[in-house]
Amino acid sequence: MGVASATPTEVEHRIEYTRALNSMASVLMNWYGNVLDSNLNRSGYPEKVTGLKISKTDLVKLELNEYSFNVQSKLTYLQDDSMQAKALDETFIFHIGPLGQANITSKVINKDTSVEMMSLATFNHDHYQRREFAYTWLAYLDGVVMDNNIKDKQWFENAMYTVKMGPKEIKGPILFTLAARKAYLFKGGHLLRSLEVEALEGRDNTFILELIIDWQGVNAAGKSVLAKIHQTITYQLEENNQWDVMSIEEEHLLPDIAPWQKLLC
Amino acid sequence: MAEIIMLKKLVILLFISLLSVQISHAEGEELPLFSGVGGNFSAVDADGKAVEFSDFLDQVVVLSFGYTNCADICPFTLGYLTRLYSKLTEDEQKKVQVIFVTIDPEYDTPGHLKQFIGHFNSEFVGLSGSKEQIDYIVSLFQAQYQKLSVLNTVPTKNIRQVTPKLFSDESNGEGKASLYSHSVTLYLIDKSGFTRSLEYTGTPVDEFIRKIRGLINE
Repeated sequence: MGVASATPTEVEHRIEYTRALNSMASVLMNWYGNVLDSNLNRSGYPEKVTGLKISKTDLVKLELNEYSFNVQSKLTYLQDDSMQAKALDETFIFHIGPLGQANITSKVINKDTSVEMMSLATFNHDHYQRREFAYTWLAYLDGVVMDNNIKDKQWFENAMYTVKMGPKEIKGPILFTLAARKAYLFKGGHLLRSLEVEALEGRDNTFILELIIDWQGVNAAGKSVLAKIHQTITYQLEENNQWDVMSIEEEHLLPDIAPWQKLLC
Repeated sequence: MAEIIMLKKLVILLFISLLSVQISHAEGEELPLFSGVGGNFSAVDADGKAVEFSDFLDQVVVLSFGYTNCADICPFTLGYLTRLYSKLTEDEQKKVQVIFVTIDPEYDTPGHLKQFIGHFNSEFVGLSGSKEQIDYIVSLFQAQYQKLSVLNTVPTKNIRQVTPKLFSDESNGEGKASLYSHSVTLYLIDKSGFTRSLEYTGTPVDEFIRKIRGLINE
């Protein structure tokens, strides 16, 4: 058994991977959100796309700061008053900038085939907007400065961020909480495991976004740390479709390491 | 009803045993700190004295939850821990503390807990306390427990007990108790009080000992 500190190389690899992944995923979610925005028109896609479901992705590192992101999807669209469906196989080439921000440098459609009609009603613009937010937020937590930087949002100064780690609790504005949280999660990467959303009962346009995130890295003392993070983000959708995040509540759960750990006997 | 519960538990035990064949940890692995799992707490030891978990700092701790009327996994777990403990050297045993926290403090008085734990190893520590204290410890370690029947208690004569409780204050020498289901996890905690690994009775003893030794030597 080794001593309880991850090697600097392992931590650096993890950080490089999660920063790039979250940043690219944020850009991709924005891309597909725009494909579904009836006011925008993306070349290579039908005009009136009504639903789009990503069925498979494949990320390959090409060279330093260059990645290929293959996406297979199915989409439904309206053409001549008739609903149609097709399957797409696309490859995006990304360049990762010095601050970790991902930019699409090229994109090709490898395959475009008609398929049987299906219902993709829930895979709409909102579906991708939520995921864009989640990945942008995680990229921000990993230190990426995106073009649509979280820190520049109007709500950033006002939203309360609470972190509960066993008996420890940190509460305050985002920057305050992040600074205190850094003692425990100093250097590492956030990986999104699941995302759920539900409307807040009795409140118009207020939603609760629940994220489950895996974090691996080191604490301020250089010790290897594993965290399963549950974030509950409450936000209001404003008239211009912009988000107003009101609060972020984070709790560190028992990491999923074995199938038996949830057994009761 | 009791037979169905017993059968269900036997199936779970069998499942646990089978899993142990599949899960093996690589040698030389690191044990990360589990963020948000564990922390300091207050409890009552088997002599009725108030203790803090921080009293055990500087020792490697193996902590488990259970109750003395548990007829299946708890005796199995404590038997496993007894075997594990016996494989440590005398010097290592001084640096390791096995802690059993009861989830039934109403029934498991300090004295009864001492008798129960002593059946396995008198060096092991049994912790009890108020229901609030126990619920806090359970929440700190994100464990779970629940009563199998909220309304009914079972005559203890119908429970296969490791050590019958002495009912000096009760008439007829008979008692009643609740049955529970509870988490089976064994928490491996380092000398600074950080949870470093989750194990169970299916963990190969040698593998568990390797992890304990790694923490002793940190």
